[in-house]
Amino acid sequence: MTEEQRALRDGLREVLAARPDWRALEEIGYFGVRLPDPEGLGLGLPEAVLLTAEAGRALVDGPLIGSQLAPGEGPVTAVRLPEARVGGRAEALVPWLAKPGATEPGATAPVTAVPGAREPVTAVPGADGSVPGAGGAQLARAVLVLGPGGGARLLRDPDALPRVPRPSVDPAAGLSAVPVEALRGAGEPYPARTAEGGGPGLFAEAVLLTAAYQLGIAEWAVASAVEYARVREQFGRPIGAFQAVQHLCADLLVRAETARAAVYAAAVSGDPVEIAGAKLLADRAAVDNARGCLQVHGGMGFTWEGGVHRYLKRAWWLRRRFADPVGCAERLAASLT
Amino acid sequence: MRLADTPRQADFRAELRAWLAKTLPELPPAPDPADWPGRRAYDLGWQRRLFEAGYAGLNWPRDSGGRGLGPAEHLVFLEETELAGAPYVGACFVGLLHAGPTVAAEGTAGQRARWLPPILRGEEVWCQGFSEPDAGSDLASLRTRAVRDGDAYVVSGSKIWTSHAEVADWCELLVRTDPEAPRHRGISWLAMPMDAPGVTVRPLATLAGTTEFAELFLDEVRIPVGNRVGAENDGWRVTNVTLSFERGTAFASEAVACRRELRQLAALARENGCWEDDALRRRIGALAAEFGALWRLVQWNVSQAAAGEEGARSASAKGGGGRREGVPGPGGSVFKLRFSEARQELYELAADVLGDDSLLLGHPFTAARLQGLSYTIAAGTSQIQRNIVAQRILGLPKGG
Repeated sequence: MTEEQRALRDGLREVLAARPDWRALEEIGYFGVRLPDPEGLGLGLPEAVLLTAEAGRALVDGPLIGSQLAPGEGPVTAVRLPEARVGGRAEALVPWLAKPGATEPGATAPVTAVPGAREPVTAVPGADGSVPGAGGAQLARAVLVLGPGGGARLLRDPDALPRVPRPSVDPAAGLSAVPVEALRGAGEPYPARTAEGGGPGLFAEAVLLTAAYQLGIAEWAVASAVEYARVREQFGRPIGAFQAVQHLCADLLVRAETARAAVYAAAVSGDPVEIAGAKLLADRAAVDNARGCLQVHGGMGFTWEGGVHRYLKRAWWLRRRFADPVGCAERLAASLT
Repeated sequence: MRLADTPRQADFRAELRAWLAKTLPELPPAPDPADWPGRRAYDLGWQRRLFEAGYAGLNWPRDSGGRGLGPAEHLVFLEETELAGAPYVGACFVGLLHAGPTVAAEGTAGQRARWLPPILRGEEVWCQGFSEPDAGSDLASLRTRAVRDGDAYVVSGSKIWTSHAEVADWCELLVRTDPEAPRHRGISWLAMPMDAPGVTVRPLATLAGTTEFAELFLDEVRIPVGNRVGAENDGWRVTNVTLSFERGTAFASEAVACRRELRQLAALARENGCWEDDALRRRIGALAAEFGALWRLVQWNVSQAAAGEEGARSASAKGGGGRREGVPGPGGSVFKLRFSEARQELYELAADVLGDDSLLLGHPFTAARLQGLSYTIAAGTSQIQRNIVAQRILGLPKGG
């Protein structure tokens, strides 16, 4: 990691610690990371990965992945068009991001300019004036559909699609069912970034960025579990002094570090097999670490107010996005020739 | 993290690959694992070839007979030799990866000149006299005593789990020189000639049926004071100085070995039809992700160690007594924890691919499965490693 990358990461970590929301991401230039200067920061995929991991660490809500894939389009949610499977469902579960204002009746809409967006993005103010992502009030104004063959299409009017909202396990991440046929061929072709730069392609980038967010969750879980284990006392001493808890925490770190090595390396190499491996390990680290963190928190972990569950639910949610463990394992197995 | 070779590293890689392709077919057949003299000759012979070709001690300082190259070249060496199926360091392990670097870092000019060139030239084998019957994971409780008598220490006690003791010329020996001092403070590091009067080696059979290690009985063995590396009673720090750096690379070639073995397993599964088993194939795929990540973690640890080497040295100079306690560097503990478990999972997976053949002693994967049971025990058990990670990296309180 270069000094510049470290500074970028630490800067965002500091900002998000104070205010884990969209505006904070916007201020540091997250949405223009990969746009050329002066419109954006002129940085690459590795930097986008580092910053997305920070967003995961702070559990920032909203369509981050899509927005990194479509710089210049404002908040975009990306959806993977399911590949044809025998007996496969004829609908796609789209992490739906409602049009601003739709779920917050009476909200007035201030204008927030996202760097690199072609137009100002209208967003809903929260109680503190920030842009909320929670409670289903979400932000995307466009949907990027990633096809199985690597192509992509951009839908500027997602409302035109037929969709049925579905209750999502993650309170901040909505889901809608949309017939695959309606997604296929809809919108306009979106130029894939693969040809000129020799990069991994849009779809693999989505997988990698999702892994990066999961890495952030895994790293948060280590920090949160350890912090709690240091202060929470039982039997007259901190629970972190008990070997059983120490070993649980050590395993959290091992999973996070292994995932970190995989995600960073995949971000630099851009190799699709390495990206699949990174997603597999980051999914595992996020889910198992959030689970372990919840265990360390005990009764507080099972309490809604405690908030640990939000990380676990997001980790479950992202594990299903773009590349699931089965798909990743198959990709890796196929590479062993 | 830099992943691509620099032009210089790429040249080095190509040259090494060509040399391996030419040299490996010329090697004599590998010896029987039970034939210790044969294994000694084979392992030293390979080291001699490396030395003659300029591939010995790549990352050792020049004044120790090494090439003085950086960690990146060393990793290229480990990766290419392992991928090419070159012999493992074997009997040269302790000399090359532990005793040698310790002498290089802490020894006098005379000690470096005496002990280091024979290690690099493939002339002398070292073994490690650390563990004792009552001091395995709790190494600092060791009791083998050394009493000063003129210009020699008189050493009595016993060591156990001493790999390569049967064929070693030297033993890096940890002894207690001050029984009154706190546990970590009364220990000294000595180089003991294995042919000294009073040294008895009794081979121990492992659960694999091989004699990988031995018990060492020391009965009033006289060791010259000049064989002490570092100050008297400072042996614990001496040992730890190099351990943290070595831990990263000592396992590096094994991380590459895992990737190679997994490919072999995949080929085997394709041959015998197991590949059609979805669950099994996906387990193989998931392990591929692990081994890929572990190799990246090695690269990361080594590059971090290289970047922080100056800082670490000045910190230990300032601290005087060195690090508080314990053995390997914390980054190495993270790697070793996952590596040792993942490699055991690989052999369990291999057993599922082999079916009943996994019960036959002759199969390489069966031998590896047996041998692999040591991974979560040797060089600090997984439980000790978790303690180290929890207390020294995560800063959780000691106790319970």
